[in-house]
Amino acid sequence: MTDEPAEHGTWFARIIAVVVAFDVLAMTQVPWGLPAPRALAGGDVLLRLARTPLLLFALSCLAWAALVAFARAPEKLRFGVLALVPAAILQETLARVQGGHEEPLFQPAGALLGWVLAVLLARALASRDGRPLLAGEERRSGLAGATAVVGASYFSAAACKLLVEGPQWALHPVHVRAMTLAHQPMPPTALDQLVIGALGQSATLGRAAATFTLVVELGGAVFAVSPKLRRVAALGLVVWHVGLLYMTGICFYGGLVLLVALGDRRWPARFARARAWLTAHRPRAIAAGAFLVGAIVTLPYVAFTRVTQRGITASVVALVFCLAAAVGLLPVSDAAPVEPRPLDRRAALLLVVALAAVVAGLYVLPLQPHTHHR
Amino acid sequence: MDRRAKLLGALVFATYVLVSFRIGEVFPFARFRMFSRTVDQASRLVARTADGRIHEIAEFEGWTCDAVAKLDESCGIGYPDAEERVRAELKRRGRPSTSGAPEVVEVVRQQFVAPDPEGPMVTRQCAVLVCRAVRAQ
Repeated sequence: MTDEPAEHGTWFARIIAVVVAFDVLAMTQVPWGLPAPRALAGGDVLLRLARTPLLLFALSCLAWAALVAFARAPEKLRFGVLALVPAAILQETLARVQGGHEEPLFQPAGALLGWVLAVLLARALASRDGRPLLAGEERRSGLAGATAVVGASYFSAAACKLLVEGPQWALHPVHVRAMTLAHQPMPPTALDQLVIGALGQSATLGRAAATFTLVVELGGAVFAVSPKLRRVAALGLVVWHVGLLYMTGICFYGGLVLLVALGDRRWPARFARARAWLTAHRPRAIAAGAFLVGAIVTLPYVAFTRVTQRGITASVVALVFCLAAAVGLLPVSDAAPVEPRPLDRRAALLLVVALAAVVAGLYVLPLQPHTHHR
Repeated sequence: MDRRAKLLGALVFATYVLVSFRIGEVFPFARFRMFSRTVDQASRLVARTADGRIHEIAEFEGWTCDAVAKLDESCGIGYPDAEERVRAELKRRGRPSTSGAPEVVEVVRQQFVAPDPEGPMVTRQCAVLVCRAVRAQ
C-alpha cells in the first residue's frame, strides 16, 4: 500500500464524518418533523422514542461526538461504531414515523461501516500473517472499504433492476420518461420544456437515459479494484446525479459528495496546493470565509424562500460541498501514530453486537415497507 | 492501490451487497431498489389555478379543502412518498393565511401516459379537490 500518503486516509475519514454528521442532522427532523410528535399514536419503542425529542437530541449528540473522534483518529474503530449505532436508531425512528426509510441517508453511513469492516479485516489478515499493522496501513484499508461500499450501493441499485426486470429495464420505452415527468419541478422553465420535453417526446431518449442509468450504476463494481476505472465510473455517476437533480429534484447528496471525494483520490494533494497558496497569499481565513459566505447565502435561501425541491436539494448539495471543502483545507497532521496495533477485539465485539442488534431489530420492530417503491 | 487494498475492497464490496440483499433495508445496509420495477404510466398531484396554469402544491399556503381524504381514491396512484408530502402539505397549510387573499385552487392529478409506447408521452389532468389557498410570498 504505497501509492498514497498515510495522512490522506485521515483526510477522507474527515469527509466521510462530515457527510454522516450532516445526515444525522437531517435525521433529527424527527422531533419537529411530520406528523407532530404528540400526534403519534401507538406505544412501540420507536414511536415512544419519536415523542421524546430530548432523547433523540442526545442520540444525535452522541453520534456527532463519535464522528468528531473518528475524524480525529480514524484508526480507533470504536468511534466509528459508536457513531453508527445512534444513527441507526435515528434512521429506524424516522422510518417508523414516516412509513419508510430514507435511502439517501444510507450511503454515507454505509461508507463508514465499510471503513470499519475493512480495518477489521486488515487487522485479522495481519494477525494471521503474524505481523503488526501500522496506522497508515489501517487508514488506507479503511479508505478501500469505504470506497468499496460507495461503489456497492450503486451496483446494488443496478442489480435490483436486473433481478426485478432483467436487461429489459434499460430498454423500456416509457418507464424513465414517465418517472421524470412525474417528478419534474413545476412550473417548468423554458429550459425544462426543451430538455425534459424532449425526453417526454422520444422513446429513444427514454431508452438512452435508462441504459445510461443502468451502465453507470453497474460501474460501481470497479470502485474496489481499479483507480483508473473508478475515476471514469465516478464521473459517469456524478453526471447521472446532476442530470437526475436537474430533471426531478431527486438527489442523494451524500452519495454525490462521496463520489466526488472518493472517486478521484487526488483531492488531498490538490487541497494541499490550495492551502499552500492560501497560506502564501492570505491566511486560512479565506477558506473559512468562503464556507461562511456559502452558508450565509444558502441557509436563508432554503429557510425563507418558496423554493422547489430542486432548489432545496441543490442548496443542500452546495452547503455540504462548501463544508467538505472547508474540511479539506484544514491541515492534516503528518505525525500519524506508527506503533504496531494488535487486532482490536473489543472493537470487533462491539461491531458484532451492534450489527446483531440491528439485524434482530428487523424481525422485532414493526417497520413499514419502503415508500419509494412501486 | 496494491493487492491487499484491492482484496479488502472486494471483500467489503461483496459483504455489503450480499448482506443487503439478504436482509434488505437495515441501516446502513440497503439495496437501493427505488424505481427498479418499470411502469407504463406515472402521476403526481399538483395545484391548478383559475388560469389553468400548473404549480407545485408548496407554492400555496392556507389551504382549505373539501375533503383531503379524497386524495386516496382519485384517478390512480402516484409515487407514495411524493403523495405523502402533498398530503402533509395540505394538512400543514390548513391554517388560515394572513398574507394575501385566498383564491380558488384545484388539486389536480397529472397523469403521464404513452398511448403508443414508442410515441410521445401524453399528459392528462383529473381534478381531485377544489380548495381555497393563498399564493405564498
